[in-house]
Amino acid sequence: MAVPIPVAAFQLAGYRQAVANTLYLNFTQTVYRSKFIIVLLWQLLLIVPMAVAQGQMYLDGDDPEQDCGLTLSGKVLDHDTREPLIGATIYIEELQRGTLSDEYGNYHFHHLCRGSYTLKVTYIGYVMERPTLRMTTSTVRNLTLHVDARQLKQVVITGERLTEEVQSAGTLSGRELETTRGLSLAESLQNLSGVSTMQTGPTISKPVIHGLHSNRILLLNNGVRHEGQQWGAEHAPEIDPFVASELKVVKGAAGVRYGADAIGGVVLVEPKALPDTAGVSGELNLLGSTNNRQGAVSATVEGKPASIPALSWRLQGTAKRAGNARTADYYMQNTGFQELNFSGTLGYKKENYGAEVFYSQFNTKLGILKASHIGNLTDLENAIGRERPEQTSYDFTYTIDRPYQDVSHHLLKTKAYWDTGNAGRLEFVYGLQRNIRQEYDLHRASSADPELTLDITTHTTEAVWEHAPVGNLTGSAGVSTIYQNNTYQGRYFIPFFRNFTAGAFVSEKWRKDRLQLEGGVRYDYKKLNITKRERNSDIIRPEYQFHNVSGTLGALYDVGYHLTFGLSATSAWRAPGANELFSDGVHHGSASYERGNRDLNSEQAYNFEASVTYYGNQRLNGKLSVYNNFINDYIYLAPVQPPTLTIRGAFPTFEYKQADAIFRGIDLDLEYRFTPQLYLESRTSIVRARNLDLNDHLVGVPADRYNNMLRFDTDRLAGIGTSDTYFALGGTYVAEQTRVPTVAEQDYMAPPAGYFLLNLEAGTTVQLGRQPVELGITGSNLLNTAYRDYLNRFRYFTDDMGRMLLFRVKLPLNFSGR
Amino acid sequence: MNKLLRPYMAFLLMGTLLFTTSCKDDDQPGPDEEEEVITAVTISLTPTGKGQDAEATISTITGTQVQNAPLTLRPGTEYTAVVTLTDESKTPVADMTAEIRNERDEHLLVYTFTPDAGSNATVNVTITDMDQNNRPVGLESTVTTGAGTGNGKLKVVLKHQPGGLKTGTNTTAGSTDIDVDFNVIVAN
Repeated sequence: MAVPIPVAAFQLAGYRQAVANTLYLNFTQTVYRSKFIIVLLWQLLLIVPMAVAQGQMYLDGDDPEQDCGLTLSGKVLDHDTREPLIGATIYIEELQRGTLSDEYGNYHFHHLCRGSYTLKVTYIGYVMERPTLRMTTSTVRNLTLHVDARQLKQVVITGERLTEEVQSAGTLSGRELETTRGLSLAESLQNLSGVSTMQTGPTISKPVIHGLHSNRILLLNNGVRHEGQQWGAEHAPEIDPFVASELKVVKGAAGVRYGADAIGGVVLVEPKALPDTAGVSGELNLLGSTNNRQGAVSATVEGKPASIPALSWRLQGTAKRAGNARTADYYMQNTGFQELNFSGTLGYKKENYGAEVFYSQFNTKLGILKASHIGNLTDLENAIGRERPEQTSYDFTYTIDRPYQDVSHHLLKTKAYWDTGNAGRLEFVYGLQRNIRQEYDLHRASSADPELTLDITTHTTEAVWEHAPVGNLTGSAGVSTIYQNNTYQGRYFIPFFRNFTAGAFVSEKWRKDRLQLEGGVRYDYKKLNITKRERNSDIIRPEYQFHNVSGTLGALYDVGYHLTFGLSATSAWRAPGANELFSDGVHHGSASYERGNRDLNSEQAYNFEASVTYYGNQRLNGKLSVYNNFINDYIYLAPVQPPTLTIRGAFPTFEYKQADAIFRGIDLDLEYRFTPQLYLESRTSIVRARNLDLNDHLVGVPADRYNNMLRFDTDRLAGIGTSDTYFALGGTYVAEQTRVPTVAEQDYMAPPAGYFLLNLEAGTTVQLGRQPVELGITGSNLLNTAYRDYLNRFRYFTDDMGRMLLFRVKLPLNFSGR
Repeated sequence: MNKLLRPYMAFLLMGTLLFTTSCKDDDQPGPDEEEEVITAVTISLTPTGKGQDAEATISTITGTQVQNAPLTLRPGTEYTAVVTLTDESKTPVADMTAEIRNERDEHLLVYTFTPDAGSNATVNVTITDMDQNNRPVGLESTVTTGAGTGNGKLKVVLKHQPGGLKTGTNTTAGSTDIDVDFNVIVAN
């Protein structure tokens, strides 16, 4: 023990010098360096005990006996950035000699003999390398190290709380979410790969995941299944995106954790956690746009009283108003909308238990393009033949006339949890929702009442036990129930029904080193009681029962070198909806007669996905996901003969049928950094869907979509006192949908041509005294392109929206007076 | 474990309580308030000179178009025609013609006669009633048959042309409230 101590002392002395040099450099050079000082100190701490333990640490030139005259030298570099790594340890195993790279990353070994050597190169945060080399002459050899994937992943986990799932998901939060403020929920999500939007004119939009939408998508608003009349393609989700601090989309069937209906995917709307420090703060958002002249205000106030530290609260409200939207050439009559939403949260949180109450109300009045309300097929053919919609006015107004929808949605959520150290965490959630949808038609408004009122009340309960980790195993088990009661008044569309669903699931995840395995199983039971008045006025009360088992299996393997492979098999099921079983009537706007089928079975989806993620690299990062969603007994509207003859003439008739279908596709996310500030973001979504029974394409499948944005982020602009400044310019290209049904005519108009939209985003934060002000602008369709989208149900009548600039001002507020 | 479950049970009970209290007794849907209030169209023809009256009704109350009897006309005859619209779902049957007449500045009836293959029949319809803006309405008209005989179809279309869409001559504008085909026989 006597020898090594002075060696270590010598090292320390030498290193103080190096640290001093680095410190000095730090003032003049990049910020990067400061990170290396910390690393250097770490290395120092590591090397001292190493030297002590081995007791045989030799430094260059200390051992003349080994002197054969050869030199090995080079640089130690980061594999991706080519940045020198300062203070990396290089150790020759055969000679038990070590050295450290200097402030430029250089290392040298002198006086080496001929022979084979194994080097051990280590550096904090990097994967150890053990290259072997044969020395015959003096050699220059650069050593490159890869960032340790596991290290990086641990950062991800702590940052996200939720552990990563094998199944692909896309998330919008932070600035990405901020730039979508003012847009509807579906429009906010459409920049994620694999997600598109289905519209009914400019006011109504619904998310489409991997080609599936409406009642094949599950929405979780603040942890509660969003239940309204989501089966309707022209029923937009009644959720205020301002409530969310994160929007997440789980792509593909996900029935085990989320329950029935998640055939195509799940959208999770997650609010910010309640404040955990005492004081009162808030946020004010102001928005204004060109085109439909939208104005919006959204405000949040939250706090935590210092006297009752367990308590915290939040109040939030949004008001929006927009007038007629404009295409490239004209205003669309009666396409304004209004929205008034508010929510309140009260939380009580102790160390091991807590409870939360959340209430939100969403109210909207949505104008519907007047020209879309047609009488029969001849009217539709006339409309298709017109250049622009037949309107009595092509001017702007905020006034909303018939036809319009007036929808309100209430959600009351209570949550309680109990955290026990050794048994895990138990959580109970109860949700009460009421959705009232009033539809005002254009035809012969004899009274001020809506022609149709749908009223649905939903109670959901869920109890989940998240068990404490057992070895490498984590997971949860739970039970959930849904009870629904639906009534209507006015014209018939869907019957009265009551529905009870109960389910139980177990989901486990096993993680060790680079491998993660997950599996789960769920059982659901659903009972549907219908009360329907038949055409002859008889009341019928049929009852349906459905049983289903869903499962999930997944594996994620990190092969190192920033590469992760994932494989998953997931399933989900869906019982036929009341509309699919019992609808009977003319569908306005599509000039078709829709007939339900009382013999439908539930549909079951089996989703297989393979993914490759290349991450943590300095320049190129990305994810490729290939999926294959096989749907057994897929329910769809099939044309049937003969057409239905009504007083308005003959209507093409469609009836709900079932066939096996397949939705397969590719999602590709790529990011390429030219410099740390300038990068290209690219997203590709491709989906193909087929009816396997008819061996034909399916109708209404999103066309190929490519989204590319060139982004530039800079912390501050020279000369002006701004921070967090960003610019982005790019575009979306949507191809023409060429894959449409050929076996039977299902559409009245060929899919519109492909289109390209030029978009822009910019923003910065300025400091007005002590008040930071965040400014932003989002521009869409900058070239004012006239286009029609295949997934817009009003493409028969009108073009899509023209140029729009959306201006945002956000004021983070602090009332604590500090 | 028992102690652990106690608060959970309390919440479960709370949930069940809310759950059961809200299960109100099942009620049933009331009679459908169909927005389509016209279920039948009747055309009544009276010859201006001597001859037999003619009348036919197309009803859709059963869910499809049913014509009670063919409309039988004589060749080379002029008739005064009146269209009546009714709602047979009401008891007694409601006459909807007045409603259209009240909004006659927003409505237009369009008549088109198409002879069957090999038929020599011709039928001309001239609208005789006018709205406030001196534009044709079509609830009243003069029907003239040509000399030829045979079968054909008389299409009657009622267009709703609100908000200034009505010009009197534009037969495609607006939305269609009625679109029916009367079977017509022109015979001696």
